[in-house]
Amino acid sequence: MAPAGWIAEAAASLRSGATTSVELTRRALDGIERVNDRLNAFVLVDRDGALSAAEAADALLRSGEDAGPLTGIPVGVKDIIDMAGLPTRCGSPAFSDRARSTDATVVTRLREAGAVMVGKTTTHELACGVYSAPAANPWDTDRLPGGSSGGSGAAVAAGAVPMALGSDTGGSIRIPASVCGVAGLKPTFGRISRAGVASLAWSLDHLGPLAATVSDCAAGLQAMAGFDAADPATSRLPVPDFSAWLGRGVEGLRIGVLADAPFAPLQDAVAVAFRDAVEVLRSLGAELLPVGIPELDRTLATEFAIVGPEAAAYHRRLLRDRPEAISPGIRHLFTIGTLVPSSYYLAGLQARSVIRDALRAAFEEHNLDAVVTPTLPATAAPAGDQRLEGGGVMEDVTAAYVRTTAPFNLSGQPALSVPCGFDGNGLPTGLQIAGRPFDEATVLQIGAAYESATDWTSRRPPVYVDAG
Amino acid sequence: MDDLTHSRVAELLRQSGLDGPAFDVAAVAEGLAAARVDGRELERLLENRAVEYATTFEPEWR
Repeated sequence: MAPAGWIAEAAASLRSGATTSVELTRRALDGIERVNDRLNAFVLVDRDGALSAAEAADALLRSGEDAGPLTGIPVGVKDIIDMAGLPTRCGSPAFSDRARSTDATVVTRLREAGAVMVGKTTTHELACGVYSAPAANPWDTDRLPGGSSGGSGAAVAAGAVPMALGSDTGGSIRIPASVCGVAGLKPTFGRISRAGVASLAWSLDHLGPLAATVSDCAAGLQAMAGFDAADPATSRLPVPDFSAWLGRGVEGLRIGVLADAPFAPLQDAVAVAFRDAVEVLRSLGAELLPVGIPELDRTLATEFAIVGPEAAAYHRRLLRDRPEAISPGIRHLFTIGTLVPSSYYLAGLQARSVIRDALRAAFEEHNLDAVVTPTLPATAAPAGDQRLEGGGVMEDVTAAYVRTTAPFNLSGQPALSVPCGFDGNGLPTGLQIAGRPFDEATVLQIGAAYESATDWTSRRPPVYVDAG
Repeated sequence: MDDLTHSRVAELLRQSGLDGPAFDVAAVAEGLAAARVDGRELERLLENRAVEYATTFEPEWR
């Protein structure tokens, strides 16, 4: 059996009358207030809007109508995603405080599913980085919460909300999920609409949930997935009932283990946790087999050949007219993205197809249902550090985190991070599970089975409020 | 991107409307040189592969 999850338990309490959405929402709002001075997970809290939505959810439940498991559940929204009546600041002084007039499609869908949006979570500036300052990690507030969806990771890990939205262009959902010890799902490219969301690199941007458990991620995905004419990249493929897969176990599934570069080198504790996680899946009846895909070693060069020019094009007016409003590192990336020749960008797009085809060939050759990797080569770095050590090698923090997550942005495959252990400093690490395109169901199935067989998600960080 | 002298990079920046103190010509030249190295890495990956039409991305495996 898969664990019920925060959302399923709250949904049951709401329907039995044991609690109300107003009560849950007040607890979330009070919890945010108690931890936000230490975590800076939220940049904006919409107390009045949230309580009003909670009252509406309670009225709906009392009337006997039911919009689904998210009805009355508090949710955080990354501050690159538009919410009507609130500004979208993108972690940047360049963006105005002007309230947006409409909701992003994902917010509309969550509202239709009855969710209660409590506020906007901290993002790394322009969703372009892994630090998300001033947000902090609930396991150690001197360490980064990952990024760019760092506020969402910190908010969920601290128990303030059961779910928060993130975006992921090179790992920005799975990086904070891994270093904050929560579940985070980057669905297939095209599964969730990005209309009403600020872009970093349009051909690699994905949206998805960070949540307390895998089943909570499934509930969030269920509400948000599906075609949207406002985002031409969205798929018309049907959206399955993801909850139906959660309790199925992994018996008989064939899972490839990716351990070569870019999934090496690793910090020792991360390597041990990953090996143990593979053994857990094996003990549950899955068939684990080593798989090598040499093309993935070109992940970083490919990712940055695409991100730089696309981000530069998206932000060209800002870069030209107000360059001082962009922090130096990001300004540098955008400037290089402006000046590189088109042949460099096109080579990146071609290399992306090579990587996608190599992954597809590996899945087909070995008849795989999924592959597993460590989500990241390292746990949370100290907040001010630019470099980290892993497996005897010093490397740039951003490059280290992105090299293990970006392969699945390039391929567009669904990829989930679930907590799989802790290092000697008590910092969490994650297991990454990637599946075939549009087969989030199997990814969630494997994640739920692993989560059920371990107790990592039951551990609490030092900064924690139980808003459930 | 053959000529990465500072004067040429400064000219490229000006042509793109990116001039002024916010743009560090030396750092940009260094960044472009790094991109050139990455570009060669990508060319090696693409060598002997039929990728002429592979610039439109489809997530589905057909």
